[in-house]
Amino acid sequence: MRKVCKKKGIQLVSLASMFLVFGFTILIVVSALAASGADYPAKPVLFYCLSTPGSGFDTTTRAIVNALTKEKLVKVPMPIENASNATQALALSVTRYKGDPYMVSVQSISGMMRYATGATPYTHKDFTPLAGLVSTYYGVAVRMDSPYKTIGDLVKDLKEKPEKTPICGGGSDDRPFYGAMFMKAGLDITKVVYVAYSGGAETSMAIMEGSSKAAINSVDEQMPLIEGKKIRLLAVSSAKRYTNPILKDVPTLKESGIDLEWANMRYAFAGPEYPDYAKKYWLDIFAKMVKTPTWKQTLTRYNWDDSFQVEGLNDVLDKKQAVVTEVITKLGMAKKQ
Amino acid sequence: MDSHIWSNLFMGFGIAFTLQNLWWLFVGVFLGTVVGVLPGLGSLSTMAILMPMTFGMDPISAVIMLTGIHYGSSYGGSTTSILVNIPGEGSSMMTCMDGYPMAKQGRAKAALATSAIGSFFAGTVSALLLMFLAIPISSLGMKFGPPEYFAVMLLALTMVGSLSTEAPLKGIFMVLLGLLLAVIGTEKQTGQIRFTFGVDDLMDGVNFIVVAIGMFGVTVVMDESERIWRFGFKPPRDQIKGAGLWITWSELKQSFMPYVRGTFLGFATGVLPGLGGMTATLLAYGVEKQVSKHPETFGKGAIEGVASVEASNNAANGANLVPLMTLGIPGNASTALLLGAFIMYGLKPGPLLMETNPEFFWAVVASLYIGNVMLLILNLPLVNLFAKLLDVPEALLNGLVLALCVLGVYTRESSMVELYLMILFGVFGYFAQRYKYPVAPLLLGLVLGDMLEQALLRSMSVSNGDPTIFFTRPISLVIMIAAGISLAYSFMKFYRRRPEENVG
Repeated sequence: MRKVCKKKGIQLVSLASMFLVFGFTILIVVSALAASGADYPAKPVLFYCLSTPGSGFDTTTRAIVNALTKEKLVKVPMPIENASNATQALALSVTRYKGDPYMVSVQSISGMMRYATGATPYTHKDFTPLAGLVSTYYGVAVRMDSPYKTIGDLVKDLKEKPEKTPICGGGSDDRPFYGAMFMKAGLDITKVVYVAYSGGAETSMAIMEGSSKAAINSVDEQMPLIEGKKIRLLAVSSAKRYTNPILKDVPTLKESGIDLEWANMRYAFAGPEYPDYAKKYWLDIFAKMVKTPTWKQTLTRYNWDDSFQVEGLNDVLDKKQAVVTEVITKLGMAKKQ
Repeated sequence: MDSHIWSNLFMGFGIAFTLQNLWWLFVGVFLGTVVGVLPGLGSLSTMAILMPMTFGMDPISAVIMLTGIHYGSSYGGSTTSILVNIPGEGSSMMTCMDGYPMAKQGRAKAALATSAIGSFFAGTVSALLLMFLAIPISSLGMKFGPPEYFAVMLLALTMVGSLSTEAPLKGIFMVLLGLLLAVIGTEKQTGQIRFTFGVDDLMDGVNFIVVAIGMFGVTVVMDESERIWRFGFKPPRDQIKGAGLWITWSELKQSFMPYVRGTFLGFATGVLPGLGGMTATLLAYGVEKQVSKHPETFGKGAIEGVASVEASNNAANGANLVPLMTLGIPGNASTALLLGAFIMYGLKPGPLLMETNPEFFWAVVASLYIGNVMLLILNLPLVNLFAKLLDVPEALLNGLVLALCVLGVYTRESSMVELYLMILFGVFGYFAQRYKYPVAPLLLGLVLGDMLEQALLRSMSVSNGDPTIFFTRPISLVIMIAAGISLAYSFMKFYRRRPEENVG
């Protein structure tokens, strides 16, 4: 009786060990597959948005997720997580998401500005830029009944009576652009009175109410009031004029005699040491996404410009960072070395 | 013009009263109430989470649902403020001041009821104002530049006088401390970082909701624990068993004028982009205490305090829609999210919205009326249910409250530093209470500090450093005079009392 028991025991043990071996093999195979990314993505991919709901980053992130879902390009869920503290979030995307294939985020000039002023030690070299996606351009706006007809009129007043000609922008991120623009126009930019607001709605209010003479902000953020004929643009920073019928008469900066083109590119990025298979996957997905009707419709609705770019993305970012740092240094806002 | 409004409104009701839109409206206000009750989970994050779901929906249904969450949250926000002294939403912070003392006196149901009725009153009146006055008001809002904003902040800051009638010097000390705390973080004009001591979590400043949860919620837990430790367990508030009586007719009459004043102040503040519900509630509470015949009851369970605050935050929520609908200008993060959603749905927000998509504007207005009725019907029966929470034994309730505090702060940013801050301010609040330092002025300073500074810096930039700008612009001058009167009035009240009472 006891012998049988013992025999059964051995059988059980061997059965169990067989299962274990099988189990392990499957586990190893699966994890090997996961490491090579054959079944990537196998779980939800987090879209980590570096700022609050309603902001530019947030709108872009939501637009991407919307297009990928609607066009059924990505099968796994893509939850969006918002951070309210962009500087901290940027640091987290480098430290917490190091090597994590399941995080994608969107970044633009605001990170460069933070690096230039010393708020963050990280640049695009510290994470993995994936692809440039959309560009927004600046528009120099004035109130509908403003005496300024061209950007030259504004520059003239800024030269002659800068203290009487305050201009405003949507936060400190817009400083590099107005600095670069007025440097090209031959002004002493340290004399320009610049009032920082948060976002395009507030700057539009400031010129409508009259305390600021001109507003510098993304064209897309100013659209509601341009369409409503409350404000108008003196110039746009794009290389070519907008094709939109309301904007087609607005000259570019170059046409207005200021030799500058400025695009604020929003690009997708991931954490440092991003696995190659994941990078390949997302580059492929984004390349498909930008061709879909949903994405094209999104671009028209938000007045964004398609700037899909993979090759040479790093060069573009390097160059922009150099310009940003130069202007910020000139404004005396650069980090103390 | 008038018949025009009515026919438009009928059209709006026609759209809002379809089964599909009613359903989404209900989903919105229900979710709004729920997330309002839960501390930490605000209407903003809920709207953000649900937005992807709405992309497949009819745009009007989607916007009706999202705005439902937006104004529904301030109905629920008062619940935890009243029952356990934790503000469910930032704009319900001031509800703690009198709501919680009322609950301790066994008047939890009265407090919850007055807050639901006040929210309904304010929500409905602000829908009316939105309908008739949206366009004239929005053009008035366009006359508000930095100097006017600064004047409004200053007016709000003078409320410190009425918030600390018992000990003015202590009140001034606390408000200064609050202003000092507001300096921490990134300065918005230049992007300079101040007083963060290398802690990334402080880059965005000290968040008032963290401080409020600490100073209200954690402090109360410490207070109760001390009482239990000293006097042992008592049967759970014997006289409160069943959480007391429903609101009485005389309490309702007492609440009526505060509703009116709160609604007016809330709407006026909410129309101005960037000011937000917090400023509205601080102003409403301060004014209510100033006009009251018995200001000494405030902070000790005055129903007027709860009534005016709850009316004002709801009116402000309704008023936020004015600049959004008429100009495409979002006044806060929630409306900025709505703006993004509008564009995603293919609408063109801005001054043209009412011309190009009138059915959209009027459907939202109509849904405000219906939504507020739904919220009232939904919230009044909940009063009984929520009040049952007070039957939980105190020792258990204490743990629960602390857990809620931690949850509320941690879900915000997943930040440990903010948790430490919450505890720090809890301990601070405990000692402040013991030595009779009023808490409200600190929060007043913290909430207004940043906006006050930005408005001052912007005013000084545009005037080239000339301070007379505050007195040469008519609107700014009027508000400045109001601030002066408010300050003088507090002084007068203070010195009229017997000298021995005046010891700070």
